[in-house]
Amino acid sequence: MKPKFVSRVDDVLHFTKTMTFRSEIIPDKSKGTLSTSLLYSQGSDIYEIDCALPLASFYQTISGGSRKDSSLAIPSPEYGDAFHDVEDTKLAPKWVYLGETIAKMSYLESSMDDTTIIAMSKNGSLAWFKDGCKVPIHIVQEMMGPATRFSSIHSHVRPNSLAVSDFCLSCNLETVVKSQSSGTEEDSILKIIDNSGRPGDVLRTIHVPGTTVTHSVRFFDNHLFASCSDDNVLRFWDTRTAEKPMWILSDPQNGRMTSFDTSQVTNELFVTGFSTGIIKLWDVRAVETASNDLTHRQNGEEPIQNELINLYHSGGDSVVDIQFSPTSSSDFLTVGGTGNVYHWDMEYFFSRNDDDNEDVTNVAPEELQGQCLKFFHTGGSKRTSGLFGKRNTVAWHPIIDNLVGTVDADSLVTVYKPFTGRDLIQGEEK
Amino acid sequence: MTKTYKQSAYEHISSFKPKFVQRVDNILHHSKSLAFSTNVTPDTDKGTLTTSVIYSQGSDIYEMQCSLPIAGDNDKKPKPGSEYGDAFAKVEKTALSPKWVYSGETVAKMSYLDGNETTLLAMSKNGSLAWFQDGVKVPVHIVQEMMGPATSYAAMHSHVRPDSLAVSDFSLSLDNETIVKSQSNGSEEDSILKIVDNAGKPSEILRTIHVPGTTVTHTVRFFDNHMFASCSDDNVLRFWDTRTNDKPLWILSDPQNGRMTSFDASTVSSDLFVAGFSTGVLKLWDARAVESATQDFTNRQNGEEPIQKEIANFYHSGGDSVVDVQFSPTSPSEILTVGGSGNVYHWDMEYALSNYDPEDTNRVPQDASEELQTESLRFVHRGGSRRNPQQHGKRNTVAWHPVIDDFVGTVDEDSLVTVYKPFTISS
Repeated sequence: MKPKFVSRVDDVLHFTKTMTFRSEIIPDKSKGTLSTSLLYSQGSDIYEIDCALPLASFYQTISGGSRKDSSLAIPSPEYGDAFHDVEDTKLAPKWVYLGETIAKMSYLESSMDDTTIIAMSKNGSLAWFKDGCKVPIHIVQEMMGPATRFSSIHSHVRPNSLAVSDFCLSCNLETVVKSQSSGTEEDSILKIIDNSGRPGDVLRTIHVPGTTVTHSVRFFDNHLFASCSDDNVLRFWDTRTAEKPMWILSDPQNGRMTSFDTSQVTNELFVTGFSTGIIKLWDVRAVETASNDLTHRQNGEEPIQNELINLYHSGGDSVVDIQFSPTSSSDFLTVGGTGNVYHWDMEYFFSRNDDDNEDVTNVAPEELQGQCLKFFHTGGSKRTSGLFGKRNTVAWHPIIDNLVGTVDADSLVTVYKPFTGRDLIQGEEK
Repeated sequence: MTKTYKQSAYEHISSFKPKFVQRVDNILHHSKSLAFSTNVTPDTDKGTLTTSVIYSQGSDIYEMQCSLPIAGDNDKKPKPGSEYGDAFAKVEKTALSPKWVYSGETVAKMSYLDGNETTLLAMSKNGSLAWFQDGVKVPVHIVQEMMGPATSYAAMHSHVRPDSLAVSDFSLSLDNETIVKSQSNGSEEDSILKIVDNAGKPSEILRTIHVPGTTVTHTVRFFDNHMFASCSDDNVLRFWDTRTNDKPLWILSDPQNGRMTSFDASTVSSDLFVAGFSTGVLKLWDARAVESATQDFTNRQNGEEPIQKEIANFYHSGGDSVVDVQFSPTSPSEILTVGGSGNVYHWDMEYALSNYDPEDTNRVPQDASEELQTESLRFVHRGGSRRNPQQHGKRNTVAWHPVIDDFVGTVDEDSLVTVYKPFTISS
């Protein structure tokens, strides 16, 4: 669907867009649909769009094969009408973050203090919104403009590469960590911000020396988080420790490390994506143990930190975003520089390798690639070839298994649930 | 619901002196501390509720079953019992052997951890921490503090004032994921706080914070998952967040009522806290008001101290010093204090809180008037004739039960363990 808006938009292509889902779902048995809503931002405006899906897409996965006769998903070649209810109405923004361009949003489910979402603007400012109030109720404002020391961000030389920021919430939603460039070269900052007692209170500022941009931060649990910077180093921190990383992981060999995500289901797995299209899956416990294991490196060598598995985007499609599924420990998706969305399932790998056998070389890379790449969303003919993949334009639904939403540069919003051959095979077995 | 207590009437009281498998030379020589487990097993046939008391003596930790009658059920109204109950009937005759042992250390404080792999967290007198697990007699994790004549802690072993320097404390965050402990650094004018992990890697020391200008930081308490306060011998409460830099968020200084000896934060409301003084004065505060006062410069443009007003003042009669103060884990307004005499005072702050308006910045602290005192002091446990007059109140010898309302356990110097529930009339 392409949403229509109440306010006039001069050129929709000029605005940055992001999307995320709300976690509320309302099943409607009589219509056989499941309603949820997605949050869509465009420039400084945030819209909430309702969408209704056929019930089967949810219950089939929950109840397994028990409703085999009717609910076994049949691959449907046609576009559904999930946005039927809102297609013809004009949308008015639900929240507005005036003067800022929203670059990332995160939904806070049933959190304290009634806040509903946190939005981050391009310059690293954060705003908290709540239902029924159009303007932010808390903000952490970053000063950026010609008169501040962040003026280098506004330089015409490379404005976009410096204005990269990210944030992440701890699992219990009580702490926010955000990363941003500090304006000068060779210095990026992490800020730890409270989200429980006094939302918006900046608790601590950590400098990450030797890096210009820290593009991703992710929490593993309530305290442990990692930051991913442009020096291809992942630094692991605890919110409670002093200003030094606990351990680091350096991986300079596969081009720029462009994206990083941690699994919220297992708390131990994480993936990194590279500009060369390579994707690596790691186990944080193994990485930490390796950094303390001095057996083969008495002379100050770097620790030997091996990944669990290596995958790649075919055609060297760079990895611009990577996201673990919030519902499954083995699924993640990657977004390519072409805008394609790749779905990966590690189950084949996990079933072959338990914790005691970390030798992955016995699997041919092609076989692994074939078994793990589960689905491939290209956006069909609607996508123009000039499109580029961007961060935060693809989102998993937090509850509905395998439901993914994307937004394109021309404001086309798509939600889909892949149908994979494996589901069919499992269904037949039952 | 307001509760009225008849002075010194118990709904239930039981006490006993445990017998031990090992020979104990002189029981008075060992330090004792007490905690409750959170396990409660109701037995409807017998009409009893079984829980257990965790009791430490020197380096040994014992678990003792205790069952009390289920009262207040159906139409059976609680009655003031004039006689001692038999909560310890099951264990009275048996000789106890220690469930856990922290060899070479003297246990000074214990905290029961529910749910996790580890069952109990114990702190020794020199500030070491030990985690115990059901079925394993020795600690499964430890944070060892080095203290001895050869270490920098040698000052603690001096004969001048060994006990006053060897004061340490710890507190668990509400989600049990973080521990903060305080200890003296051995040298004068420096005490330390350590933030210790209890979630991913239990016993890992995450950070060490120095509290300059203080020799002893005797109490630390968490308000929620992140904010905690430390109370030092310079009569200053410092408020911290586990995630911030090594600087307090704000402080509260109160030098006027003698030494600040004890402090506790409510885990139910997460805003209220009380501080007790050596002069017997007890003050109730609102953490939010204290914080906003530090940022209010209306009446102090010339660098004056912030005007941080308490909600209300109370006192122990006869100038009985306050050695320990504890919020009830089940009620937001109930507090118990332990006097230097060993008496346990039960307070209900409801009257003071009903006259308190957090929005009113010009309010006057409620003074310790006769009316406030009678409305708030609900019960005094004197230990009856069994307690000898030489008795002294000590920290960590009195404990609230974490689940059963109003149920308190105490241990005396002569190893007498008492559990009681004050008699209340719901009006």
